[in-house]
Amino acid sequence: MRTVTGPTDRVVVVGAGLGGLACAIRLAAAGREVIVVEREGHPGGRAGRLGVDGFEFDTGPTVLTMPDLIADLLGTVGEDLDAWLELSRLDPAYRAHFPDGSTLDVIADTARMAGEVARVCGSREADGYLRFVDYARTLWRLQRRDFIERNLDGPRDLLTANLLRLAAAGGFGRLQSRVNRYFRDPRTRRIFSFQAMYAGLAPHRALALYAVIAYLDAVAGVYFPRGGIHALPRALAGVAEKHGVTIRYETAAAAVDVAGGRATGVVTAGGERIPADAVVLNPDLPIAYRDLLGSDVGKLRYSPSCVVLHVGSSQAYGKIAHHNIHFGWAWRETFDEVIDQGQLMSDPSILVTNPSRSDPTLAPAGKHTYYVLAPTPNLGARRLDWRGGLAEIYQGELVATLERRGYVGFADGIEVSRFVTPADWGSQGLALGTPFAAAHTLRQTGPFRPGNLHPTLSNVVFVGSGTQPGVGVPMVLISGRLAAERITS
Amino acid sequence: MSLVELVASDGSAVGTSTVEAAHEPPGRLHRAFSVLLLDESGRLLLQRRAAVKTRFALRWANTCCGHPRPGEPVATAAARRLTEEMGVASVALSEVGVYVYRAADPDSGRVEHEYDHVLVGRLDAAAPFDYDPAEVAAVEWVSTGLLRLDVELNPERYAPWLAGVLDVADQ
Repeated sequence: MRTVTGPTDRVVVVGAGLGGLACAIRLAAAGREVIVVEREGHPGGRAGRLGVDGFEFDTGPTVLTMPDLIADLLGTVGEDLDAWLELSRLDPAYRAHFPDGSTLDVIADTARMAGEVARVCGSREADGYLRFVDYARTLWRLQRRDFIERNLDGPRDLLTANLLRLAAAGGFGRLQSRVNRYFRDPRTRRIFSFQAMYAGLAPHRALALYAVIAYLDAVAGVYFPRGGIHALPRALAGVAEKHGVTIRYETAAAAVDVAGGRATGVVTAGGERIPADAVVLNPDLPIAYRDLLGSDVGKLRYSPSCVVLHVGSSQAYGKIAHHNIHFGWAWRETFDEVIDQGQLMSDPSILVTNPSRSDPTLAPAGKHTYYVLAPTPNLGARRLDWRGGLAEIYQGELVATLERRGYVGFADGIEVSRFVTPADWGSQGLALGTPFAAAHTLRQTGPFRPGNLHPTLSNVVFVGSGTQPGVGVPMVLISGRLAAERITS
Repeated sequence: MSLVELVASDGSAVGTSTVEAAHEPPGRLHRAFSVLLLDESGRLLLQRRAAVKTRFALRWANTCCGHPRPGEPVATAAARRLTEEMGVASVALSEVGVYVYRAADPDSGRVEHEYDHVLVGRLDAAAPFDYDPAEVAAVEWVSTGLLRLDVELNPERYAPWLAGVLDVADQ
């Protein structure tokens, strides 16, 4: 494994996102002096916080899986997860709502889930579910140590016995084809393949090895911290500071100082120069290259984006769960529209999260918070003029769709709302206005994804969803470990 | 002069064309077939297309491909072509699906726009066969799992329909 050369006593981390914080804690655990500079007044990066009139909204991820990764991270400095975060397991993990009016709860308990699948789709389908769980678990075991939780310098590092096993298991076939082998019902086929969207691809294009995403949420379980997902970066920041990390908020980085093929420090927007033996960059990777290093990461294929409608509401709905996926009739066409044609969904599939249901303190007494997410093209689709009136139109369309899909009175119940579009993600410093980074095609996965060690600057390390292993809270926490290992190994 | 059957997007025959004309850009949708022969352990027999092929020469593709003559049943045409090109006779073929695609050959400028019937058969890997060197540059038995990986990473080595045909066969 390549590592940072030369002294590494003093490390400056740019960005207190989940990846930056995870890396900072591990560096502190390894005895490094760590300074984190953060543009905002709070930690979290994409896992930010929006407070409006007593309503508290998570701005980024809403689904948290694999809490063991957090426990492992805190364990490096002798801290106990339970002392910092109050996690509850969501049951069901999701509720899927189908256009024919049927619903299916995704329960992260295999036996109970088999019963639910049997109830909705029949016992043969439940048998398929059980076989799928075995399959996805096998894929996860084959991938975890060799390909995900490991620094990969080049394709040669892939050549392990598990690569052959993964190939033999059909991991490089298509996700939708593989899922269709286990499921007959169009509803279960969707529930166990839509996660390809997290990887930025349509299920019929994504590789079957991404069945691990469905495994990690639908089988291993979805959690929610008291206080919302933003409680996680808050906890990580608290742990970091307790163990000697200095976090300087409202301090934007303007450039990385470079001399003789090495970074020598970070210059802030205020003109201050913070010297460093090594630098860790947590901003969206292509933007870190462009704005902090004055270079270019090269051509990448980006994931589609999304809009998020935050609503503080007087309305409550009895038939929903914490996470709800409302599928439209269309399926493959929906992905084609958003990913290939650069169009808005004509028959939308939407995620509705109702966090105040699990934690009433997120809203004023008797009120509710809703986080409505709809996939959209990224800013590569130039015809979509979000700031030229489209945002208002599409927000109205989404609300109308929700009303039709059972959220009666949703419009009337709105007390506060904020609508976040790809243009806004772009303004926040996310390449091509997508919060989901480079898509997980095979050519942008593992050793083919932009690396976490700069190719020429020997002490510049990247962390976050744009580098290895990839997108999603668990992967970003792992990226913190991989980045730290580049410095401490 | 060989003819191909032009088809509508639902696969129904709508006319005929010469092979030449059907592959003029932008390409006219016509009936074709792709045969995949698998051995007892699930390995696929690949052929490397001969250098003289007018489309996608020297790329690796599935066991054999071709166009039925207008009105000719697909299974008959596939069996005929399998014998002519690969020297393999008497293999039971079953149709598993259809792959519709359009792909331009950057080398020749010709365009494939095919309604491609996918047929699968079993061949003993030890069975001898004589392929026609005028059509086929080389053959190789490969594990489909690893083939998938290489098609993703090095698509320029393969005929553009191979991945889609494998997807259909995978269902």
